[in-house]
Amino acid sequence: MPMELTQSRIQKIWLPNDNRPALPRRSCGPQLANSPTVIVMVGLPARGKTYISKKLTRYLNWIGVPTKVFNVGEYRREAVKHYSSYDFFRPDNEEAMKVRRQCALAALRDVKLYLTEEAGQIAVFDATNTTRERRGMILNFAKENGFKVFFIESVCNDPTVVASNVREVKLSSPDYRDCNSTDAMEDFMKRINCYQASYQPLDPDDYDRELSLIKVIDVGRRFLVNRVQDHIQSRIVYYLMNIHVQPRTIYLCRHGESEFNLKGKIGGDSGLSNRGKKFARALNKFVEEQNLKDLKVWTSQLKRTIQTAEALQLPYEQWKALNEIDAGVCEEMTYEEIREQHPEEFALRDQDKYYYRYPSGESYQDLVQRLEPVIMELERQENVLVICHQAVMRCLLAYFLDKSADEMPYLKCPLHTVLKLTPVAYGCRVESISLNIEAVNTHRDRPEEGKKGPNPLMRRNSVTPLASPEPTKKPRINSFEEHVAVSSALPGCVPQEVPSQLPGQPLLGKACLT
Amino acid sequence: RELKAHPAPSPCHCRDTFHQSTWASYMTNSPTLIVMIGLPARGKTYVSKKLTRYLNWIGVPTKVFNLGVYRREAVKSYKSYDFFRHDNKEAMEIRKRCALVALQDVKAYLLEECGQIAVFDATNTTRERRDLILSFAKENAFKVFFVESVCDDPEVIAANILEVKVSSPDYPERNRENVMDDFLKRIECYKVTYQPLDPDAYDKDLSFIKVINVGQRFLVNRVQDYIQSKIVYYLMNIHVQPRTIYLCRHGESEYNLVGKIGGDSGLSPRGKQFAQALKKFIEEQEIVDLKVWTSQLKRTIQTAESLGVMYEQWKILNEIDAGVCEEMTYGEIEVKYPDEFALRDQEKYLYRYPGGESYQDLVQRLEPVIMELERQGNVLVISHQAVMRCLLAYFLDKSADELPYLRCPLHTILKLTPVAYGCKVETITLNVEAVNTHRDKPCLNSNTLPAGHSPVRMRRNSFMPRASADTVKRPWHYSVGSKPLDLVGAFPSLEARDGADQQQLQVEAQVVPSLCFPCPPSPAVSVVLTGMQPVPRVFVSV
Repeated sequence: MPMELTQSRIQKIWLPNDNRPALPRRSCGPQLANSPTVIVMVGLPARGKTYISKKLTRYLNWIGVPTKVFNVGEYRREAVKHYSSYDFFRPDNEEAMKVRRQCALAALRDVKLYLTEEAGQIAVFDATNTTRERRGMILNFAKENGFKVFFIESVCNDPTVVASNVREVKLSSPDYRDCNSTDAMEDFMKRINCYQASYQPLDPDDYDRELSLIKVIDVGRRFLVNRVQDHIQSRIVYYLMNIHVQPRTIYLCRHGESEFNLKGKIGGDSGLSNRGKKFARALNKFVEEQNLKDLKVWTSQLKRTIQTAEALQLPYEQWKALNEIDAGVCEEMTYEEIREQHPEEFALRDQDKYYYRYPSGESYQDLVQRLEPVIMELERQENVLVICHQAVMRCLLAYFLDKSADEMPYLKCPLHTVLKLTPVAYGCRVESISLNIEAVNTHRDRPEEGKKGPNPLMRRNSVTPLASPEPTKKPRINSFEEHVAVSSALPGCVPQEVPSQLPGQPLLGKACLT
Repeated sequence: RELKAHPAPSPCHCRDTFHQSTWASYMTNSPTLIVMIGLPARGKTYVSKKLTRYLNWIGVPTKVFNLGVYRREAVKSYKSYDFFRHDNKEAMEIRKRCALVALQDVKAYLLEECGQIAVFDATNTTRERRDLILSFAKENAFKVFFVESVCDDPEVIAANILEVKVSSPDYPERNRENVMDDFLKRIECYKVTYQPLDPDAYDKDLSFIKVINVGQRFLVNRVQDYIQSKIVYYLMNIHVQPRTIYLCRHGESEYNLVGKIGGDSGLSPRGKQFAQALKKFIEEQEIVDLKVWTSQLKRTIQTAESLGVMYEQWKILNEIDAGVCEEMTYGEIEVKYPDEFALRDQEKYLYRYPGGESYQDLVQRLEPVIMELERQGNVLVISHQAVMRCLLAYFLDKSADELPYLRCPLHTILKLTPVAYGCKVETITLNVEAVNTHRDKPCLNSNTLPAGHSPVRMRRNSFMPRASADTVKRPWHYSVGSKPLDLVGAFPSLEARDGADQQQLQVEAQVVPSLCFPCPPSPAVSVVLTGMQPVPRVFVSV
């Protein structure tokens, strides 16, 4: 009877002794979906499809589901180097239609590669997909490969929203590089009209009633959700219902310098040092100067963040989920003491800081999971100041800046420095504001020859953020003529540039503990 | 900026309403009225009760106001569907008056009894009725969220009628066919005047969710705040497929034997025996697609390993973190931390171990587990005493007072099966001896609060489960329009309700021991029916 267990050293996970692959381990990554999923965007141009695709991809990667966007527009720009005008998108431009279809096929080919050979779990197919014919083709493709399909349709009939979206992201598109903005605007509006004629919205009452889909109507004012199939689709729906596009600012900072910081001790629940108190007052001044409407302030439940927030004269909320990483047996020790008393643990942590779990404590991985509700609530809110801790701030920052699990534990989050995050177009602008109060440095750089530990085990409910991969830009669709020649051979005949291992994903192999 | 660690939570009678309402206001800002819409037998009451259970478990005081109950109070004997015909003016008048009385009760609950959410469970199928509710809500500054259940699958409707309507007080001693026939006619009466929510024009500015064909499709309009978004997420995750949830603890551990709490020890020989017995039990149950979940502690994993099936480890199923008291016996804690020991007895739910967790922390940590359990089919959860208590409290609708004292002995499986509006529990003892790890609630003189003790702080993200309040059944004392002066008499106040909970606890404490201890000679299967029904506990021995 295999009841003898051993504990893995880095992640502190109990495993059967004989190390038999405890029953069929299914695919790796959190066991969120059984088979890979293709998320298919649907909607006219300038309906925020790319925004949703990128944001969703960031979220899914952060919770550890390997996800990648395939933007057909980029394939098209690769294929047709010079965009001249909306003429290209006219439904009666047969030649162009052919190119566009080839681009879609090339993108699907890459989707297949990503989901079957590169350990991808979710592919987001970002294109207009406004016709039933195109969607039917995608459905066939998915069926052939055993992929699940989830449609996200963005519907927006508010001309001001569309116009502002065009202004914000489309005018800076490579298509309009040499074009003044009035002309570009006009051309883009004509481009939208080209699609309008053939647009067949998803019809959940009849034609599309068997499909799994969400319709996002008027930027989140209304949602229609049909036949959610699994856990991950339900998470996606919940996420889409919580994000918004109102302009707002998120401020992240750590507590003021603490007594333990001064002594170099980690963890614990000490109060602020004198300099820490000075920072709290400086923070108060800073917040007042920012002159924010309805600023929410969140702290952890540890004394040092609460003391910092108390200086602000604003109401604040305490979250236990924002507490610092639990260092278990190493709590209240200095790094030197840990090195002496637990030399092995000390070395293990340097090997793989993201996965390393302190004995009876937490890992960064545990922390990311604990912080997920905070991220969801941050997405719902407008202006927020989060006063937290080094490891916690690194996890939050990694979400907003799209950092991988590998980089996350080494992000620089010094004391007495406020990071101001403002959403812009498809990303996030960061300003780092030092309040000019001295403090000790608590950052430890990544050790030089960081040996990698054994491949970490992937479990359900264990999240390993990935940085969202760069969209594939394959140079192989060089010109229209050249491509038509190759086009008939769809699957995998093209030399692949399999992306070298994704940064920060030390393991996407198949060893996996459920 | 001098901070003091909050020494201990206070006993329940100190839960002052001020803190409670300030806390709750973080969630919604103003009280919310959830208005159900739909023809009869569309699962409105099911959704109302389930949602209420969930909201109370996450600590938002919520109560259902079922109009049918008011109507039955007003008209003692139900004759036939004639009563529901839209041209029966007299009856219409009575029904409208019932609605107004129910709304008065909603108002009293939200404004005077610290309620945060009221669920108005009625058909509300006409615009006229909904407009009346909307203007009532506007007058009182309540937010309104509509939940419309639409279902046109005749099989689903028939099943629902058979399951819950046949046993309705409206049909005391009739046979099934008559009930079905009468009820279908009753539905027809409503169909004549039914005006579904119209998201495109008339109702486009309202906040609502339409649940179509038992969760196959949802339409969500204008979600206003955090709590509405949680409600939507919850409604999208629950299902009505029949299934069974099995809850048990790991087999007896080495630490159990020596009386130590926490830690990460392995199974004792008897614990291993239990793991074997559990394997046999699971095989005998012949469960389709059983999922097995464990914590990340050695004792649950060892238990699961012997089952020979796939299992998933969840860190959030780990036992409550006893902080500085980890790996100590209760005796040692009493000696080394006498203050802490006493504080925990005073308010076990809110008490947080220094450097560790409270039951309240645990409930919050377990929320994703509950959500995922709602989504799943058959599941066996192998967890720990405190964790199992929290899960059980959710399914059996127990309050935060009872929760830390629920009986979850070692080597005993609880089998939970959803029935009508509640959950059937069977307790199965596998007849492998084990130590008793239960500590009863000590008799306390609740006036012995330490000096400087302040009332409990309620915080956002701190969960405080409550038992769902029973549906109000109020004598038909006064006519509509007169101010209900007898509110204080007719309604249990908060304190009184806590008292009521304790009474229930005693009942439970009397019932359960006979059921689990001592180990009977053959596998004992006992059934405790706990519903969210007005008659809460029927005890049947099989």
